[in-house]
Amino acid sequence: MIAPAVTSARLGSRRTAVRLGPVSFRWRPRTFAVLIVATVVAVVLAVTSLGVGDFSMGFLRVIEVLGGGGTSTEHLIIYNLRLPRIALAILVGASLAISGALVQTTARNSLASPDLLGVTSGAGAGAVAVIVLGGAGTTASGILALVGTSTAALIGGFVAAGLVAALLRLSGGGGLRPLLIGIGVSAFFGGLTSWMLVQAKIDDAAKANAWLTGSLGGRGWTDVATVGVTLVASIIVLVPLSARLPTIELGYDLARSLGVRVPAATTGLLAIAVVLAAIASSVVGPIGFIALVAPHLARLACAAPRPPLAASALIGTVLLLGSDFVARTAFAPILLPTGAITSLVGAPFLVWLLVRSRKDGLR
Amino acid sequence: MTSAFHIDNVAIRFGDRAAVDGVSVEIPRGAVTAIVGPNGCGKSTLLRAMARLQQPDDGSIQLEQSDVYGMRGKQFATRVALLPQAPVAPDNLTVVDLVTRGRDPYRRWYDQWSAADERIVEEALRRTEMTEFADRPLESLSGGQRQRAWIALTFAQNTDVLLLDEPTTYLDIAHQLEVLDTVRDMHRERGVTVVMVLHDLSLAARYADNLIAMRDGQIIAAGTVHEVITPAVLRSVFGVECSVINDDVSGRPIVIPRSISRG
Repeated sequence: MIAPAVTSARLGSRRTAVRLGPVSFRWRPRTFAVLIVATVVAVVLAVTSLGVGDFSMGFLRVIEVLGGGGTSTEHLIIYNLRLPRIALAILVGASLAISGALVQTTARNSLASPDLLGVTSGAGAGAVAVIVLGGAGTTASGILALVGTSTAALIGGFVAAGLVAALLRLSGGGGLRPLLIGIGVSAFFGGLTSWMLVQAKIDDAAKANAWLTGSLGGRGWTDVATVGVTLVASIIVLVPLSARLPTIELGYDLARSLGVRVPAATTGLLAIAVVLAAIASSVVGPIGFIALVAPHLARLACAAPRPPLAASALIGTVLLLGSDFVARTAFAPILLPTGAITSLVGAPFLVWLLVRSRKDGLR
Repeated sequence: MTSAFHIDNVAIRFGDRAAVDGVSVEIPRGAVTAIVGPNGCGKSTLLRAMARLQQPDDGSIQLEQSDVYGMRGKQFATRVALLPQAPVAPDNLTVVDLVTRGRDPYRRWYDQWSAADERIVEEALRRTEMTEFADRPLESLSGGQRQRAWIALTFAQNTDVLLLDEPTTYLDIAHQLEVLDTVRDMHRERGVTVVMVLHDLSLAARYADNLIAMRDGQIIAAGTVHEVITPAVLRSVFGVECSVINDDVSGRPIVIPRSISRG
């Protein structure tokens, strides 16, 4: 049969499956509804956000400019100044949220996320090393400048993740232990970063410091492309690999006895999580809590046993777009760092999770 | 009687300690075999080795003449199902979503649901009397119902062999019977070979055809229930003096502990 036939079947009471040629999946109306709502909210937020600033534009005017209309000034403001920032918010929000959902599910720990586990601060230390030591006039500049901040952040992120994994192996995982080890590893890399800043020349330090506050401002299309390519490549790998997640969540022994090669699959999934978090933070700096909060919201909204990846990504996008909007408008013309807003919202959420996990028994 | 598993001189060591120390035994096909013994005797380790989860340091385990550790994971998963001890499901997971995972060894990643799968899942739910709970999250069920949902998962896996590691742990007596009755029904209706690690001797004597009694990583006795449940075997396995009487209703032996053995 050449034309793919779409068939659906009622399964029992409330279960429906969709078949498209050889591809088949369970139809979950609630997840679909969440995806639609999140997409609409993201689009509205993005367009509104594009119109806000020193030179403000209405909602419809922005759409007109995006469609090719408007004056050349409007064009310049939208395409060269604001669109990279908004595109970055969309891509970074999705990257962090997927990363968080992967770590939470594979670690089977609702408190696990790449920022709390030290991956973000490891990536930060790597990036700062390049900014500071790679500055003109230092002996290391040749090699480090070549490596670039993205690669350095990747290396830093993987070193931090490896350190956390090694320490977990020594101490045994479970409960709050991953979180405590993550705090320790974060502190270590934070200290390393501070030390590098002290050693740095004043110009380099200022540059690094601006980056360390976690901001979406002042980034260009190259940065958008870096995060975008990483995200698309990760999603391509994730489509087949993430089918293993529901089985992995049943525990090591059961997943193995259902035919999943657990060590290989979890290593692959966690590696993608580290890549996504490290590349995102190499571009925008540490944006806290999106990776922790978005998957939880997605899981609650979809009433699912695990954070659905697509819904997590869209909710992460909405959260970061919203935070960035607040950062730009709340105290205008003063621009707050976006990371400050996400932390302000995210920290109480972490406290709520801790309280709840104490009640339910930590998992 | 032909064997499902042929276990030959298996040794498994954790550091200096031998958890399983030179075990050779045949597991009869189409029967219910229970492995009993005191804590730390190596019974769960032996079961994990049979489940392809703990590769022996020495010796070999064969399933129907082929080496368990030479098979591919997915292929093995279509022949042997395992219910680990005290499995934990994520919050909000419904019974049907759990049972569906039993079809994983037969599916490709892009093909997540077929009519045949659906029939087998519905059948698994019916056989374990879980149909009415299909859309309920696991945490809302009783311990016995929850354990039956996990057994339904192994049923959906549609294997010839079912391994269970202490399936009655943390359950009260009514739920213990409920779970073991479900396992026995599955065995009777499909002729599945069942191997389970059991803590409780009287339950083992009641539900198993064959017993393997272990102590310190070695097999002390293996055979039919009547061959293994004797005062002499119980003394050397558990260090307890017992009387063994016969239950007229079930025809099975009943153990009455008298005292701790001296010397």
